[in-house]
Amino acid sequence: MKDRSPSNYYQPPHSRGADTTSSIMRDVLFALTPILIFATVYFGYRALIIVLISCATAVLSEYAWQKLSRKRVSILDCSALLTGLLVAFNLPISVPLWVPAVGAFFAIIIVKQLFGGIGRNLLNPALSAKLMLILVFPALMTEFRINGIPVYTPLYYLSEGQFEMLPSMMSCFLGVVPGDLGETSVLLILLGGIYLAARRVIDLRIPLSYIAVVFVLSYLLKGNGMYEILTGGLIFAAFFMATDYVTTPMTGVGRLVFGVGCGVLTTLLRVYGNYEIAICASILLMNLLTPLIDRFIVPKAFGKIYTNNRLHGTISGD
Amino acid sequence: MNPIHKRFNYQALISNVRDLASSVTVRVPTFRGGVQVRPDKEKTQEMTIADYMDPKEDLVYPLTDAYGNTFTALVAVGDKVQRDQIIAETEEGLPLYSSVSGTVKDIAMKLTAYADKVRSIIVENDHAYTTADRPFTPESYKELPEEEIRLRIRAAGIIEPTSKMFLDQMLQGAEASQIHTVLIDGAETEPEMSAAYRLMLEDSWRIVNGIRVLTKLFPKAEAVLCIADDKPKAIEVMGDYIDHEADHIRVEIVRCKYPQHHPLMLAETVLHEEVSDVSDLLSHGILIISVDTAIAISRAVTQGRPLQRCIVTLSGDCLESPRNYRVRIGTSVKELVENGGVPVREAAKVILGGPITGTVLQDLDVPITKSTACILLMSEESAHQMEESHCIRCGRCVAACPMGLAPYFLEKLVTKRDWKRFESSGGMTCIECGACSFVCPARRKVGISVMKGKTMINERRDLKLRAEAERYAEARFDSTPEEDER
Ligand code: SF4
Ligand code: SF4
Repeated sequence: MKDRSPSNYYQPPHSRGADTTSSIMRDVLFALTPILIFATVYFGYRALIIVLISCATAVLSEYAWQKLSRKRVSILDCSALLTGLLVAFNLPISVPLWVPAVGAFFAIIIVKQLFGGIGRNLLNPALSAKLMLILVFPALMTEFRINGIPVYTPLYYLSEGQFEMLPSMMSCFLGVVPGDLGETSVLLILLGGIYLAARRVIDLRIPLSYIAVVFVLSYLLKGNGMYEILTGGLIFAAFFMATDYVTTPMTGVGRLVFGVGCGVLTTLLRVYGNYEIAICASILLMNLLTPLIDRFIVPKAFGKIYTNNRLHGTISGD
Repeated sequence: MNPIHKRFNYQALISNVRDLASSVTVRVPTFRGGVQVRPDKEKTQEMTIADYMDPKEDLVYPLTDAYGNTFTALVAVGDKVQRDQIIAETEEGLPLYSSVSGTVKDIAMKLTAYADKVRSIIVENDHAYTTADRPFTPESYKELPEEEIRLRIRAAGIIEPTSKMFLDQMLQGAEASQIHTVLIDGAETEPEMSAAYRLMLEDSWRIVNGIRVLTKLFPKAEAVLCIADDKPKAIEVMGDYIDHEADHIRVEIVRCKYPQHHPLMLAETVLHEEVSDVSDLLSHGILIISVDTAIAISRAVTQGRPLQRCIVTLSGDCLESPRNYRVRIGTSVKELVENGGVPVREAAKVILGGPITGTVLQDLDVPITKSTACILLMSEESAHQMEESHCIRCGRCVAACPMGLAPYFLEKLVTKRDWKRFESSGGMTCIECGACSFVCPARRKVGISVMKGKTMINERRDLKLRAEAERYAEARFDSTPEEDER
């Protein structure tokens, strides 16, 4: 939006970098498009309907909230659209059609807007919605049906220890396995992630450290690392959820800490707790720790900082 | 507002990948942080420097310069002055020269780019350019004793814009410390500016000569000419002029990344010395001068001529042929803008300085001073600014800040007026480069907030110091009734 207010118009810089908030959001949407197409083809057109309902609810509730609270309407920055898409991507195909609406509404209003809107929320909206839905409607969220036939996800077999029932690694990689809408096709998720990394939208430190830690720890604790990272939407969460700017640390080292923390928590929760909520709970927990990380891990200052700059005279005589 | 259909930006993607590839494959020394900027210099880089040396309007010499030096006028209204004549002087005896011959028309308050109204000497040009007698004869620097060289540099009144000091003051400061390196700043990474580049191509000999003078003054020091890697031609030309056996001069190629041209960043890149304040560089044994100062030294020492002209890049998307101009100090910006180049559209904003740090000129009738490097005419289209939105915590400002600060956090502290933490988080070391505002996707002017915080703290510090001094004075001396009245 153009701004001619003198304080802004007349102050440097007069030229800016290419990326804006909305261009970043559009980049992420673009990276998610192949996954959406795959989901529609593999799960059927119902996937598209779930996505549309979720996105529409997200955008409309953000619009309504901002209108009602007389704030500037910012739906054009595409962040609500993105949240809606991510909420839908975390749902099984068989959910009733009111679930995406409830999830998106919860994500936008309760998690995002009640905390002050974009940039102020403490928790990742899409993941919070998923966790809420799992806790409130466990049956709906953990039941998977393809064409009406109940199926089990690879994650289920993993958690039950029925390794012989697991689909082949190749089908997990390509995504032709049951699971949430957006999380199955590791191949397309990686493609999107590479695109975002090349555009410098996401910092690879988080997803890579997250995935690596899960792989190594599960290998040590359970003896199989590959299936742990290929299933259950880990790669999706690592590339698209754990890299959300708002709820992750700002510095490179902080992001590494965040990724490692997510990895450790996810593995421990999987081994000693619940497979279903391991990923969301660990990322949300690290979200809560983010202010702390940002407070203690600060960038290394250039040169030496003089608290009382001696060139301007000291105040408190150091 | 960008329409949604403009979603896929191939060019940006390609350039991102290229940056990534080049930063992995070619190891050009650089500093931590900073931003890749579009140089926007192609047009001005190709054109030779044009002369605009015959100003028609009156020339204005402000008696307070952009760096706070104040001068006392040595001429009166109605006096005849000549080119290269000293018309004003600071308390320490550093001179201000007239750049034309003519009559002093007035000594009055005039608008300048850096302060509202400043007492200025106004000279009417008689276009004769008769030169005042100079006490110095043209001579090779090799023949001159060191004392004479220093005298000539002092008499030329050269101001070094990177450290905002007179060169003479810098040389005096340098005497106290062992100067081990003289850095010559030819990086010029701010977009649009290309004066240093053109000078390196056209005045290479003088630059090398100026550097040689300095190496004569500091025989133990090594001189390093830093050129950014987007100027291969300048690197080649300057390399040819340097006599690698006789001179202690080295050409160092640095990455073209903003703000590589900043003295602190150069010192870090070339010498790996992290100094957080420009005025501390001298005590660390580093002397940094710009390319035009090297030329000014050469002119001052070998020809005995003072500093009275400068190179200004006149650019922007409103001009058909943007170009560098050689102008006389004191020429009005308005005159140069009106006479230099054909406008293709109406300028919405005229900016003095580069697009990242420059200030908007609301009134063009201000004089060009020694610190003027660039004048930009921006059209409505390129000058528009987007509204600030909420910080999305992307961390780009943190990654871009060359001083290793967390600009988003400092901005928050400024809104909270938490000055103590602002200082302890290093806010005072901000070099006001604007890299953080440049990259911010939420279009926040983060850098401006940090600068505001710095100004606030300096003001409070001044107040506090003054109050302390008063208290001290009161405790020390019994105040007399006269003092109380005052
Ligand atoms: S303006 Fe200051 S805070 Fe911003 S990037 Fe430059 S040095 Fe850092
Ligand atoms: S660059 Fe802008 S949006 Fe990103 S963290 Fe800094 S202030 Fe926030």
